[in-house]
Amino acid sequence: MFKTKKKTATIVCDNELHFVKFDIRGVARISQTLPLSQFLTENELYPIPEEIRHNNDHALIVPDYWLGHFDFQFQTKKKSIVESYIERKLSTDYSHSPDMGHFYDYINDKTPQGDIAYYVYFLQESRSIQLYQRLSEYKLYPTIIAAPSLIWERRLNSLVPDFSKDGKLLIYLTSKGCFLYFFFMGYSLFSRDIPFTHSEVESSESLNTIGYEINQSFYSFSQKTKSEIAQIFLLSYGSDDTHTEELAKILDRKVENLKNLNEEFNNPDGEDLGPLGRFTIKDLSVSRRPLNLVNKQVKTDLEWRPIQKQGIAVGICLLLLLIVQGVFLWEWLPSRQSDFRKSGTWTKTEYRQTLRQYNNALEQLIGESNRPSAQKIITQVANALPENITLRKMTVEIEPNPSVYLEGVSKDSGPNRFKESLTHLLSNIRTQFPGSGYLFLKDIDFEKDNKSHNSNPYVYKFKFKFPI
Amino acid sequence: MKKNKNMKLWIIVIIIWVSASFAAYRNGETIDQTNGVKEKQEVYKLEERFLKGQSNSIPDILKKAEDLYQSVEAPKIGILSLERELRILASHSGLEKMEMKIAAKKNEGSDIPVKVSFKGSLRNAVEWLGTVRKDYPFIVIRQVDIGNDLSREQTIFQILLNYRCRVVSSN
Repeated sequence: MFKTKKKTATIVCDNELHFVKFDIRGVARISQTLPLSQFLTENELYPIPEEIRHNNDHALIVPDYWLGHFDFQFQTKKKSIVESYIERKLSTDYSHSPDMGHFYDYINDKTPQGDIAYYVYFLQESRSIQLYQRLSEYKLYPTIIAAPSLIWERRLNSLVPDFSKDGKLLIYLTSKGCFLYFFFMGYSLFSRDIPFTHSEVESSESLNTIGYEINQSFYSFSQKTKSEIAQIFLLSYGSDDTHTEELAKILDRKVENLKNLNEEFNNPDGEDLGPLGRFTIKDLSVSRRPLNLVNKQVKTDLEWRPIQKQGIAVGICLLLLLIVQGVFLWEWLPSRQSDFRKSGTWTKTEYRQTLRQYNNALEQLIGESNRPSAQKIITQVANALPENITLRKMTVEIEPNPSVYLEGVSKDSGPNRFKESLTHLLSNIRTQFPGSGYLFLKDIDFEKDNKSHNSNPYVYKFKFKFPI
Repeated sequence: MKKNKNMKLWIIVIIIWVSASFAAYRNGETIDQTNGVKEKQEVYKLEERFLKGQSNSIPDILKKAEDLYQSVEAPKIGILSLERELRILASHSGLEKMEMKIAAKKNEGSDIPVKVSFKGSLRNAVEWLGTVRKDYPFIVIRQVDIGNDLSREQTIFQILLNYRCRVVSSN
């Protein structure tokens, strides 16, 4: 479910449509071949094999000549601006078929001048859109649309050291014809298809024809790139060593055998698929990242696909863990509660009642013990009185506002002495009643006692109240 | 590629994660419930252990708390009994002319405010107050007024107290 391999493909080759399935080794096996023109024009649905039809990961490989390409330079790398420009250009150039403007892909590279060069590849063949729509009728929605040159570009990038430098040529030789792929600075520049005539197939004239065509193409390459081909690679289905030597002689250039770089190319199968015969499932995998010409919506969906799959995988794992945890808790909790009940603690309500009574009793007793004691307060006041002061009235309030009210007289030898007496009294009260707070002379109401029968003229009445 | 395939995948992702969130929430609730049971169990065990450890002192505490209210068949009977006892106590303490009356006729609670007055020395009065506090836990002294009777040079005490009683059936 989570493998990103493309299991099936539709390959357009020599005006034929090959429905291909990749075997366990990842090698392409043709399931069915149909004439392209009939497939596109006839109204009837061809019986495509079930294994092909019910595959969600399907690739569409079109011939190189169905591909168009152009390049331009921009100073921005902003995707939205670049794509908007490409779509505008394509819709202008192919105004007769608006759908074609949606099937493109591009790569970018920095130019020596510091600009960014964009190489755009798009489907220029009107049949490609027809084919796409026809495949949709079979519920086949390609997730990759590519061409052999683009796939070779990626493959050689990973195989050939310094592939992204200078010009490179790949000669792909089959018994029916030859394909030439020209690359420059690591990008596919153009390709050529050289079919052999019947007489050429039978004779060794084919290599001379190839040599001639290659030399012509060298000229075209030089014109386009202002440089020369630096390396030539050959891959053929026949006797490679002979072909390599002969071609080297014809071209008067060194030709390297691609089979020496990768053993996979020794596989003799797949010649019917033409330039795609050497491709495996790996070449269409996301890790190789071939340019993909599917429309933007599909690309966006494909970008989200790994996140969706990972989200599903992680979510399922998490959900399973939570379900297991849930089942465990569901089984465990009732047993805990029944243990609790069995132990008897749950039902011993008399314990709780006793405890409540105990708490209430304790609270009451603490309240009682904190209640100020009247006899203690009276004794403290008595101890606080200086000798020359006599109390006439005292009120000790315990509830609701604990306080003491004092009214008395002081017999002194003068006002100064009276002041000293009061100061002494206040000092003693503060000592005896730390809770009385700040008690000052100004808090005491006093006056001279004129009604006093005493011979002493300095008798003063006073009264005050303080909290305890 | 089918557009609705992408939508289907998103729906599957959402369903799975919503289910996972719901399962996590449910499990969280169950764990909380389990912890609640566990905590309750711990608390009950602690209480049980405490009650067993304090089994000797608890009856004493309950008895002392009970003594804060005098059990009487009727409040008035309690008042009469109280007056008699306080009078005897005053007499023993050397206090004279003790009088007692209920401060308020109606009292909805179990506390009955009572005014007590007597004459005597400060020392004797303090002794009386001390004895009341010690031996009569159902009496709450709220206020003490001390004044001089200038004509007879005696100290007059007026005490406002609360008499706490609880009516119990004789049966």
